[in-house]
Amino acid sequence: MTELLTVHELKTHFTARGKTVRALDGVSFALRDKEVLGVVGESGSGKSTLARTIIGLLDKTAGAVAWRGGALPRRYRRKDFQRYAGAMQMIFQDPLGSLNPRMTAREIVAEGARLLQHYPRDQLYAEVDKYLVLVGLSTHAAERYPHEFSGGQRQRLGIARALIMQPDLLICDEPVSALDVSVQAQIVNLLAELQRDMGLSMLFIAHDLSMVRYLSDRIIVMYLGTTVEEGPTEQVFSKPLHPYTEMLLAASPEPDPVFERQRPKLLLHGEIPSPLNIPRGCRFATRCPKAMPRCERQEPALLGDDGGRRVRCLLYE
Amino acid sequence: MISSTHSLLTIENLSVEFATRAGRYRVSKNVNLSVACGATLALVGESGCGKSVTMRSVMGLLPSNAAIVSGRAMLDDINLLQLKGRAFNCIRGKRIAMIFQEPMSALNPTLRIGLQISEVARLHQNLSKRAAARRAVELLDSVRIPEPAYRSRQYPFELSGGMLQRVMIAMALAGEPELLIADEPTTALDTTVQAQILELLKDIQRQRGMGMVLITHDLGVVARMADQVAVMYAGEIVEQAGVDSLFQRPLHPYTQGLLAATPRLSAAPNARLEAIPGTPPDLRLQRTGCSFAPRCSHRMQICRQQSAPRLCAAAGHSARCWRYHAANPKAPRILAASR
Repeated sequence: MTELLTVHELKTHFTARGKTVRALDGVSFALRDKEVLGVVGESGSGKSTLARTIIGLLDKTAGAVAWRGGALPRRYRRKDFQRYAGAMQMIFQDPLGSLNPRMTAREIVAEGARLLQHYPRDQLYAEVDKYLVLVGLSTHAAERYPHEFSGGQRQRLGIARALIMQPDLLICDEPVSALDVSVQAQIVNLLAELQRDMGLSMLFIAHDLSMVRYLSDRIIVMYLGTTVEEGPTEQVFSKPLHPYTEMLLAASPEPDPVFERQRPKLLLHGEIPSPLNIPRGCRFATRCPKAMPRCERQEPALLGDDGGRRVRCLLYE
Repeated sequence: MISSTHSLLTIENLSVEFATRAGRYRVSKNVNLSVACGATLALVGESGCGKSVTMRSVMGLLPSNAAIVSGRAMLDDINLLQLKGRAFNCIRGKRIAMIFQEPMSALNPTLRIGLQISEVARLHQNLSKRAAARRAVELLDSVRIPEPAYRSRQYPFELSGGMLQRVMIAMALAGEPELLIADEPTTALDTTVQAQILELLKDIQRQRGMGMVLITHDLGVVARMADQVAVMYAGEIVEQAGVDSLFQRPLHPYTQGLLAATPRLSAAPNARLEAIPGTPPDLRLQRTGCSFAPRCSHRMQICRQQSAPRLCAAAGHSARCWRYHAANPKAPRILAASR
């Protein structure tokens, strides 16, 4: 099994007015070729920071990211973006905010490929049309501006813009969170088809466990900048190990009133602490229903088994 | 569980129009709803379906370019749609309160939280300044805000989204309302915080016997919270039922589609979501027939021509769909009589 992307003890900190925000604080994982890895966590868990750091939009504070075994630069310069544009691409949560309102759909999709001369000039627009159709837009849409599209169509445009660069890895940062339910399913199904047909690898970020399930081979659960659990999707769902994963599953409402009435009530107390002031010991101890006295002193390590399951919790040490 | 069949609020034939430069268009069409005392009605639909407009018109909170074309909203024997000024203020905030999706923009950023809550308490309960301030702290405590006295002296920006939503709920409770309208109260929150707020709303409702209208797009939230459900599409209520009946036997193709598109934790491995093709109609454009017809897989000829009547099944389950009409030879055998 070849590893496409390896992330090792990756940290991204921000400093403002002498204080340090430890947004991403030591995440490690490996993504295999053609694999979909789901990343789940509440806001403030560092999942968007992870995506942005991997793709080079943010500088790495510590740790390493390797692409097909070769280390990626700590800080991206222009040539680095150009060099890796064909390796990985990203789609964003807010499709309108990530599309230039003064460019037509055709210009938006063509821009990256044009700047990097990814295709011969006379083929470029034929390629644009091909990718518009691929994501389910008509070629008539090419002359329209972002505001003329619906939310779902804009997200399709974002996908076309990413895929025209023929990346191996597509990073999706909450691509359906801003969309209506019926449209969410359209986009998730489209991503699943494209992933299968084009052999893409994917990092799929969501705050919602139930959505991640439909795409991911494996899942990592993040809390306050670190991974607390990792494992094959079905195993994480059927037998969550970390108390936080358990609580996330319990919190997610299921469209079934009978099930909702019967399910045990597990309410997580309080809210995620500020990354300015990360608790000592286990980061989750302040909210954990299973916390022991030593959880507040000792920081648990991420321990794994042979089956690819890993958990960061003193209950298992 | 419906604790009482006595109806608290009844909306009849409500239609709301928006006037724009391009003309007038209807965002809420012949809406009929009723909320029972102590029960929760969930109003479900996607963005733009008219669910917020419907409830805002009851609260007199429509934007200036909107007009109520027809209908009435009865609270006991008072028609809320005809109330103005002072008469409305005796009811709004006191007998009916509303909370919103964005608590940050619903609160005044320059005033301390305690003061904002005590303002409502003074207005509706004739309390002295000092008594109202004490009442504000009590209310913050009742929505489970830790250190309520300290929090009441803070400004909105010092609190998280979940805490602010609790503040909004405290403020809504200040007038001791009989009915709470909650417009997507947890949409902007994380799942774990959403679970806390939903549980809080349920407890408060149980303790006070308060009725609730919960506006949401999330069928999971509906299953957790509702007694009765109304599904809206393109300004119309397309299906109405008790919560169990709706989830066990969804009748309208739109409801069926929404259910199939909603992700579930209990889904089988490798299950797929069923997307509803297309997008909701642009309400500014003229339509004939059923609004859902262009996206509907059960579409018949008549669906394009005439809008469907409301057909009633047994046990208070109704849907606006031609499939269930007695004249349809292939009608699924669920509905008995039409009305």
